Amino acid sequence: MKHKTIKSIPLFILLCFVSISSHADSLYTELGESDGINKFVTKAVEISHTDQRIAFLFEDTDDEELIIQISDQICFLSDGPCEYDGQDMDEVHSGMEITEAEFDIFVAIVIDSMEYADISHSARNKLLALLAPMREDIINQ
Amino acid sequence: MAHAIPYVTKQAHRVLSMFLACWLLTPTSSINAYEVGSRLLATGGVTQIEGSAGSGIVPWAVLPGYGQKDEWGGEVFGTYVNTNDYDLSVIGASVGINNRVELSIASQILGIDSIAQPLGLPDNELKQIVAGVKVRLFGDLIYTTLPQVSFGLQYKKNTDFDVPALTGAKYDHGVDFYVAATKLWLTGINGYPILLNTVARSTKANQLGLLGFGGDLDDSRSLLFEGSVGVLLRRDLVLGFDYRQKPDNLSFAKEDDWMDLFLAWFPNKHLSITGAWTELGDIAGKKNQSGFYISLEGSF
Repeated sequence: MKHKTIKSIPLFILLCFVSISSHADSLYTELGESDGINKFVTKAVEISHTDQRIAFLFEDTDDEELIIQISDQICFLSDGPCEYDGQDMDEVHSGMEITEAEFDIFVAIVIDSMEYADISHSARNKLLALLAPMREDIINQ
Repeated sequence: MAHAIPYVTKQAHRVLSMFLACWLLTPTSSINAYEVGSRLLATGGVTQIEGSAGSGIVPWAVLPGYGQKDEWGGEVFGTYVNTNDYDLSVIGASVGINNRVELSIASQILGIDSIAQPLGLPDNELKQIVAGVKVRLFGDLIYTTLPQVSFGLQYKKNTDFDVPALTGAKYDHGVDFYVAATKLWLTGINGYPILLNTVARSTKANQLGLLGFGGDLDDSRSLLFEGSVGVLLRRDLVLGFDYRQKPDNLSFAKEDDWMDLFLAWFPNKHLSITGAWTELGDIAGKKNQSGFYISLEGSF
């Protein structure tokens, strides 16, 4: 009998999550629109310069331009009112030879920066899900 | 038969577990001085009861610690399970190499006071050592469309075979082979990431191997299913459910499938604490074993 009780718990939890998944805000809104996006992207670039494991990858970047490019891209991906006309990801990272480890370190910095900008757990994950497929074009180029 | 590893006693487990707890739970612990690997928080799972990276009772395809390619990582852990009539203590360690290979070792001691006296058994503990290897074949837990898939084996050896032999077990050692496929789906349900894990295991082990291998009812390998489903409630908090099919090789007592509901907390990349409620069914004639599970581990 006890087995039956515990077997129904996962279903119960699943239903709880389904039931709270009904609000209609776009991801762009959840990310705090252009101000929110700009805030965490700026923070992420700032932290990247101070993290000795990946700082060298940002040595020659024009920070202002980088922040605009990344923010526009995130705005575009999250269905915000932006066009992303930047270069392809594999072109941008060509010759940088970014490793799996460096990629993961940057992702962790982006997550920290989103936390810093008070972006919710669920909005963070929705954005990460949109960015994840880019990994193949970014690493080992 | 001579005791191969005589120093693995409950006392040793207690001392090592207490040492581990003191070490890990001290904020200024020396473990904090180690640089951990680059992989994201919680992507090494915790350590399951046989010493492999996974959740409570099921291995995952992930590698222990946080080592990415060209990095090493690892875990030390202590786990305690207490049911109506038994208690299980496990300690162990593992290393993950290049996010590719896992090597693990675990020592399990099952206290069987509740049946030792009434049945006149020669021992009130069942003990075994588990040595494991796991290799990631392909895929990435998070970034690839395909799940991360690994192949593993667990070599298990009873340190004392007297009781398992009395129950009808055929061998004091055995090897489990398994394939695990694990995927973290980031979008999950409304942005709460969902983890799915399935395992196919070939084994002769009775009650993990604590009651020996093979038996009078069935001496062939069983192909069994195991699975976990979890949700990341927060970046550092995983709520999940494990299910593990079990063989039924011994005529003296039936063996039931196992399950647990767990909550794993990763306060930082050096530490995780897991609590669970387990339902282990009938074990060696004692009905409906259920109870709590607590595990503490350090990553380096």
